Amino acid sequence: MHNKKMIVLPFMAILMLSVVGVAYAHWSDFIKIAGYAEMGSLTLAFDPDEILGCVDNEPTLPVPKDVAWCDVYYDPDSYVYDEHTDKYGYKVLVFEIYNAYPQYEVNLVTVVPHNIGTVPLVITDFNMWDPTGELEFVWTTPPPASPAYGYFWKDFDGDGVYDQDTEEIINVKIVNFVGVQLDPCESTKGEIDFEFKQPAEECHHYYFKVELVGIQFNKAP
Amino acid sequence: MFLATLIAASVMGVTFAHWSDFVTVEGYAEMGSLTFGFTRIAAEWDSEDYEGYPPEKDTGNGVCVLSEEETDVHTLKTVYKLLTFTITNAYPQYWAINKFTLDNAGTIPLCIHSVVLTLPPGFSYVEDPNFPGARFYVYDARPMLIYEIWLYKEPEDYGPGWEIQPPWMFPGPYGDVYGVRQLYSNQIDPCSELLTEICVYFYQDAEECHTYEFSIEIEGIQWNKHP
Repeated sequence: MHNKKMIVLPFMAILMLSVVGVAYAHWSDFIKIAGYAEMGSLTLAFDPDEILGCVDNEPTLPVPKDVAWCDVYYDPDSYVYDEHTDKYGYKVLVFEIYNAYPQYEVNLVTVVPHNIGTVPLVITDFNMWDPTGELEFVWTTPPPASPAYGYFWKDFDGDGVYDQDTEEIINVKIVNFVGVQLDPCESTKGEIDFEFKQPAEECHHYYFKVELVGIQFNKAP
Repeated sequence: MFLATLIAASVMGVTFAHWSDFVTVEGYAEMGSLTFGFTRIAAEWDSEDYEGYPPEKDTGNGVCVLSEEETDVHTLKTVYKLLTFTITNAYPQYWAINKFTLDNAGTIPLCIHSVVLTLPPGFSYVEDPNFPGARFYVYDARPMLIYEIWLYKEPEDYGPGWEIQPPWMFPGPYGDVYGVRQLYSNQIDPCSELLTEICVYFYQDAEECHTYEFSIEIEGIQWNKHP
């Protein structure tokens, strides 16, 4: 009996080696797919090559005046550079209105957003707000209508309800922009107009922001 | 002494004297070859080629290039071992497809045995178990879903302008008519090709100006060892 076991052992070893040998020896070949995906950029900026300007209604008054005035400039801290296109621009356009008074109208006539990225974009909306929380903004004719109209108001009496006669501070009109698709390197020119209303306070400082919203073209409504 | 001489002579005599003849079996085994590779790019198109899916543009681009030639010594057929899929200027919801051929340039049939995705450090993936081909959801370190890769058999040799929609626009879970089909286990006979597609689709959390890399290794083994 013992001898029979001794005879079987080498066969088992050979069998095991054979199995292992087959497992390692099957023929195979490999191929490879290497994938590289370089993402583009979506960069909306104000065009620094555009001459900035604002005009007001004082030269057109029955008796022309030069009382209030406006300064417009790009915020140097908002400089933005797109490494794909080698283009640059500014994210923030600052306008400062001095010595304003009720019925004073001022128009920013050369607001030029520029697509300096590599992906087409569509301007879909404006966000308008007062960072201090003093003023609230309401659209009367919202985008995508062009012109779009709205106004800032201040809740003087604290009742949370807008009173047209006593609480309207600044009327806003925006021409162009919304719905405009800007392919890379394209820009569009629009206008933002402001008119100060009678409830505006003397010696007061109002602060508000207008944000243009641009989204990738294939997500536009 | 005499006896010893007699015995020795007897032994030699017997040795020389018995009748004998021989036949010989000579064996020659010429082994075949298993050479697996790419041979051609059949078509390339992307989401911007389809009217009405979103606005037609020419912004992104996806191009495949073949390299690393290998010629099978038996068939003298040349295949490429590396397919490089380069997508440029991609953006969320952009997808790019390339159709190419997997070829058997050797002399024995082979089967697609495995598809293995490798990603750079910090990235991970989840494979869709229900997808007929290989479908990998790729996440970055945040972890956010960045893109997905489809790799599947696509037997129809079509391309842009053939009025055929992307596979996921066909009816059925993954397209029953011209849609995706399983890649694993496909057998490719010598001198045959398998039309295959790769699709990369980007999600909204893909980051601007980033470069994403991946590597997929496809193994073909002798058909009689599969699976």
